[in-house]
Amino acid sequence: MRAWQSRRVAEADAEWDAGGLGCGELVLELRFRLAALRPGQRLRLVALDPGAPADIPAWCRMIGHTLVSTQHPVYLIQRKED
Amino acid sequence: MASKFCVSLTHAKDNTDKATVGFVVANAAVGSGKETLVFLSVEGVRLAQKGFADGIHEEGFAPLRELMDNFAKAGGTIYVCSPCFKKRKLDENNLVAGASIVGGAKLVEFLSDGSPCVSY
Repeated sequence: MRAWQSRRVAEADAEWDAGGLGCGELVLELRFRLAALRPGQRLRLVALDPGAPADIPAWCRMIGHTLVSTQHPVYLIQRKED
Repeated sequence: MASKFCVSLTHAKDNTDKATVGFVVANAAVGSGKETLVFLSVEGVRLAQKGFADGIHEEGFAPLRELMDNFAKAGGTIYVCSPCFKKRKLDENNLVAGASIVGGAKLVEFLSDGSPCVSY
């Protein structure tokens, strides 16, 4: 088990291991999963894709969600207010 | 930042790599909150027919049918070039979800207020 696999963020309301998903497949599914949360709730994402460190912050900036923390491949995203 | 995004796709089974990546990028756009249009023209119009994309599965990507279904589910729009469609004698009563047959004016209207567009 790698170090990131054993880390858990206590304040996450949901978790999603996206595995190797990347690009459009990753962010579209991410959109669905954030939409299922209530405003202010947090998703702990594990994304192994090498594009994720660039894509996830850009996606959060466009959508308006808050990227609380990032330590690839683990990202903590807080859903924006409606 | 523009609120719209267009992907122009001119391939289907003649280039399944381009057809697949076109919808992957379209899903990135719609997944990023953009009002997203896929414009199918030339051979790409064949993708607008139900069942045509079945079996197209590029290595390293989700099956094309799944990418297209997710695009429609997320509210994406597909415009199908009318003359390209008619030239190939396709069935306008057998369109995939989110698709409609349009003339060039609809594409021009969508792009005219500054929408970026990428082509495959």
